[in-house]
Amino acid sequence: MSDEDLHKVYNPMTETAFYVLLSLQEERHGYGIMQDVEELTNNRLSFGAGTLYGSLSKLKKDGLIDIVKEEGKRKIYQITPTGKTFLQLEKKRIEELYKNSERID
Amino acid sequence: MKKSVYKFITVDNYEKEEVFLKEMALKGWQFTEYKGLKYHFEQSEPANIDYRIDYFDGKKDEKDDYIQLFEDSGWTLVSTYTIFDGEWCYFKKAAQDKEVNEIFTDNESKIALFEKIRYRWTLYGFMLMFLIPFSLSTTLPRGILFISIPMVILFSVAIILYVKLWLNLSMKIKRMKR
Repeated sequence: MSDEDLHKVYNPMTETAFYVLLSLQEERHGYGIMQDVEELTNNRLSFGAGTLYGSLSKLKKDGLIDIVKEEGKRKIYQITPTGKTFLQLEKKRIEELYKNSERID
Repeated sequence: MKKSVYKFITVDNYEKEEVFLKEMALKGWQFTEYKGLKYHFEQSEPANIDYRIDYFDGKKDEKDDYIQLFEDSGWTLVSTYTIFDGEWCYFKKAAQDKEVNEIFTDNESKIALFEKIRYRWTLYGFMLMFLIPFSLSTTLPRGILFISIPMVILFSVAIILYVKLWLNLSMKIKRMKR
């Protein structure tokens, strides 16, 4: 995917992609991501296995995450430098959103 | 005791399949596999089970990780059914009182599945459309009408089904994107 296409898909990104990338700043297997995101969001976000797997294979195909090793049948994923770049862009966007939300009365 | 049920459900309505399997389990028939156009069941105590179906079309060495993720989150793989270059995976999980077990928790992933199915099945529908003129051109000149007429009927039915499938999936995708 070209850089321009990547921007179309990941800038801004979906909430699912955001939390998967956030969680994968540390290496984890699929179920580890599920648990981490549930903890981070107080169980508000509980990924279904199909949704998470779909997101993982798409992020991997687009080069935002990679498989770093295998533990038994489980593959261990981690964010790539490209993934980090897009996560940083998302952070800036959310900071702006947050700042502007102060104007809500 | 075992039994098998013939039931015709096209892929664009696979959610109906999930409901059908749940109803059978409630009546004491647990789904074991789909084979030879039939659903096979084994008798058991009536049970409240959620069934979910997904289409896996990843690489072979990715499948273990895929199944493992479902098992880690409480699903059991009941059976798989290979078609085209992927396979339907049937998962089950005991139903809970409070919430429904889902494998898709956002619209994007469900849309992605529908688009995947629509692309694959339409592709094969088109291939069928090319088969009709081809089969007619080989059977008609030889005067074997009794073969070519049923062939045309069979292919026409198949094509109508594919068009219906495409329209139905497109409508579902559109509805979800809104």
